[in-house]
Amino acid sequence: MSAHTVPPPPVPPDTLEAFEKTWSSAPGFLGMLREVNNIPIAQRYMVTGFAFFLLGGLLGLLMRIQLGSPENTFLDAETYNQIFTMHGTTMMFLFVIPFIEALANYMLPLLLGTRDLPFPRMTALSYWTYLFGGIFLYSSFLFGAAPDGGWFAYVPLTNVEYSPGINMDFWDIGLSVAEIAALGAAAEMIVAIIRMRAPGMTLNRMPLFVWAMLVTGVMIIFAFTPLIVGTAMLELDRKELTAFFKPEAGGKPLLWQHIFWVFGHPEVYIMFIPAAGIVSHVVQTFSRRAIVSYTLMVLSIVATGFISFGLWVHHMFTAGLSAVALGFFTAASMAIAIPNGVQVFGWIATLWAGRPVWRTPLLFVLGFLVLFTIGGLTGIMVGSVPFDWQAHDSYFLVAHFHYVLIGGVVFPLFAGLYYWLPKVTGRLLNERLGRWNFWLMFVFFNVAFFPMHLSGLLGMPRRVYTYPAGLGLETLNLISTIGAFGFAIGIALFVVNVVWSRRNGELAGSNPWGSDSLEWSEASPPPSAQFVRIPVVRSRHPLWEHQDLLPHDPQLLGQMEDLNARPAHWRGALVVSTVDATPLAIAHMPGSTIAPFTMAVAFLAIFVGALVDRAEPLAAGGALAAVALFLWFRPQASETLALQELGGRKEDPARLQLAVGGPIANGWWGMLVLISILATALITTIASYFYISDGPSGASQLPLSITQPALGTILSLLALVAVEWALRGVRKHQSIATRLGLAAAWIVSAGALGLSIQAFSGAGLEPERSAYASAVLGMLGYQWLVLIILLVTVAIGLLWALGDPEDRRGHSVVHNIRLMAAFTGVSAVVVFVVVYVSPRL
Amino acid sequence: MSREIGTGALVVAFLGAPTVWALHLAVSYFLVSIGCRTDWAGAKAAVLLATVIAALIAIGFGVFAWQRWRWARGGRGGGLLDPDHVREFLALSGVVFAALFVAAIIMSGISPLFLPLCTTS
Repeated sequence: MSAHTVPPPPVPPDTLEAFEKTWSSAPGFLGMLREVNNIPIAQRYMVTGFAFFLLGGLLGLLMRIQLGSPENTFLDAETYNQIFTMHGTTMMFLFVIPFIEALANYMLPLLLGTRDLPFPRMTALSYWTYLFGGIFLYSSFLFGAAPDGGWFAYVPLTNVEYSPGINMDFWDIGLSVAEIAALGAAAEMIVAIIRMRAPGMTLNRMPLFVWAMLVTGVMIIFAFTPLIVGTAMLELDRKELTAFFKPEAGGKPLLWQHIFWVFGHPEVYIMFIPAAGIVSHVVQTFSRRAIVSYTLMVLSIVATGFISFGLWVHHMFTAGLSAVALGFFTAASMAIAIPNGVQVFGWIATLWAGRPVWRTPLLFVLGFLVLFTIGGLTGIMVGSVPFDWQAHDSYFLVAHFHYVLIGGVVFPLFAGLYYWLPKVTGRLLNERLGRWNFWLMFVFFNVAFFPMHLSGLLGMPRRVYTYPAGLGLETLNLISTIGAFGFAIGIALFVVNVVWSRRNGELAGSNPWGSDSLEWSEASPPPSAQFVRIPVVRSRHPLWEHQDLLPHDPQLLGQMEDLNARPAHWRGALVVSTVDATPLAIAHMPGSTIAPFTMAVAFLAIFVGALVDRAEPLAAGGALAAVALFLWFRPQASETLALQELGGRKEDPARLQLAVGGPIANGWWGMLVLISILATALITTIASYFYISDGPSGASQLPLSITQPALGTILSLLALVAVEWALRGVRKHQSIATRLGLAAAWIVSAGALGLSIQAFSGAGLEPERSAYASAVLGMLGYQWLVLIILLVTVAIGLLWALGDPEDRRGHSVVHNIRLMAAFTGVSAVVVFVVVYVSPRL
Repeated sequence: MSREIGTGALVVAFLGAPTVWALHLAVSYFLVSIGCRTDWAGAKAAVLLATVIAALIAIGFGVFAWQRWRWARGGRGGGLLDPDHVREFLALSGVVFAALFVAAIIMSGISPLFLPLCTTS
């Protein structure tokens, strides 16, 4: 290994000054609200996530006080229900996932060698939405109405008949906000990783944390979307507008379990895979050698992502499913041990073959290896149907998933914090406090959670607020409570360490650990204007194996010239090809704007309106959303400047063009991600439709009239034709064709929407009384949503076309509209076939 | 001499077998549901047939990936993988994936041989 030694040639001071000014944050309170740069937003995200971690931990301690002795009256049953529901909800939705996304928001651009995430406004929107969602959820305590139906919200317990207050409405709606934030962050991660890497960072040179976040981003899309659909269905049921899960109307309570666990099991791996990515970096750095078998580690990450979607039924082994079906999911539960085992052996082999330096991050990794292996072994036990029948819903499960989640996720996160916080703050954390922090957490974690295996095997059920004396559970529970407080002291020590080290910690320098990846080539803390020069990568371990990060190839040298402290007056970042990371173009990155904050406030108003069933907040939210959309999409001066500087360039391999119009633009890839989300929602809705239709209120009893819906479907397809016409106008510089095409697309799409609504209204269906009618409404409501999104995007394109038809930003919008119109056409046909044709077959 | 391999072919080689595994799981679960609801006597055989077909398709993706790996390697000697060659990496990954997911398909798909179809827990 050779160190990264050769400094780059200096950049002229005036150019550097202009460049830094361009990337600097706006000052003051308003500037904070308008911030879109990934570094400050990610810092806020991390602090907020950690605050929720402490809140969730506090709730856990209250539970342990209650369970510390039998027949305790510290908490009553209702309060305990609220606290255990909010503990799980907080840890899963408000701490782990957002914290991982925050870490990724901060680290990914640094690891990839780029200047920001691809959609900075989305970064800000995700944060504000998450913050407001969390506050919304916790505000329920002020009304004595905190969610109380468990973090899994099983029906019929959470139907309005058995949970009549607004407690579970808070859960349903608050969660939706957090889910939207997660999807936004996933889109950011995916597009950043596939389009914005440093030149030369081919897929097989990507750091393992980057691979982990790519897989995690894709998993969030396929896992969180069904939950959004499910929570929407549950909320509609609770508002007595539908009957998806109501057995008396032909609804299926088990459908909720399927939807929830299609999300819930991949969720475990959505948390674990990034943790595994962190572990790989820490092991590699502190073993002082490359990770053993990089290729197998990558394959394990991807395989785990896939197989995790085939495990959800192992949460339903006692729900009465057929034996063969259980066999499928047991097989998958065993199969996932293969990639996980490969990773564990890969880390151990790396430590074995290296020269380990036992600093705090590596201690936390060691703790992770021990605890996650124990959690994994008990996971294999409960993945076996006969054992699960015995241990299900007992404290054995509580022990198992805390070993997996705290051992497998929280310990690696602490390893990551000790490893990467010096990059964030510029100062090392105190090593002695770190060791105390680790040992307290490790020892007391086992004191708290190991006895739960035994109390579970002795028959203690989970989710109970107390237990009678004399069952042999007293001592085990008291030990668990003592352990929980010891563990909390360990966490508190971490907070002390961070606060102390912020002022007194040793200065970190750019690469305090002698690591290999690009984040350590920047100053600690990195400036807002990170990567004045875009680094060039020639191996998997650039800081270990390169003398410099400069372009050597003459063509690359020329291409990078436009990115050396440039663009000076607008924010620009490099776009590369997906597989080879060959430079393709320079993307314009939007600057500070109040639009994301406004949009998040609009979401909050809409969700408050939905909670209290009042039109005023809904109307206010709708109006604010319109304002936010206008602020978001209105022409930006910096973008005009970018077009003036680079927009006129002819195709020339020696110079990079502006990334605008079609697949070269990040926005086009963002639209693909949106379509993936919508496609996943469609699959969930179709599966729900068939699951519900197969029953006494089924489709065969009520075939629906087909004429109007058929006409609506044809109109949806005509919209695609009209958009194609508009795109042709763009390519041939025929502004009239562009305008007419978009106007026609808008009119026929509106017609399709009107016809579909009219057909449903005229069918005489009663979704509040019939699960089948609810399923039809679900399918059609989905299509209405898709059509509304198309109408909004076409309207934005039309405004561009009417303003300046030659503006290439408008052309980009038309390219994106074409993707959306194509998807709308396909989904219209699918919905038509499912709702109107399949009952006739 | 190595042949040019497009991004689309690499995506197919890399993700083909896992996708077949996912589809096989969905189809098998669907067949069992239909079989149990309608007392369809052929449901077990249908699951086994789906398993054989899925395994063969996944093997096909493995062969496809192996061929791309050979093309990417060209005449190069030495180890299985050149760490600097991204196409070799993706194609060989496809081969390994095919092996893993063929095994996973078979592990799932043989359960009708040993278990009653519709006995519930």
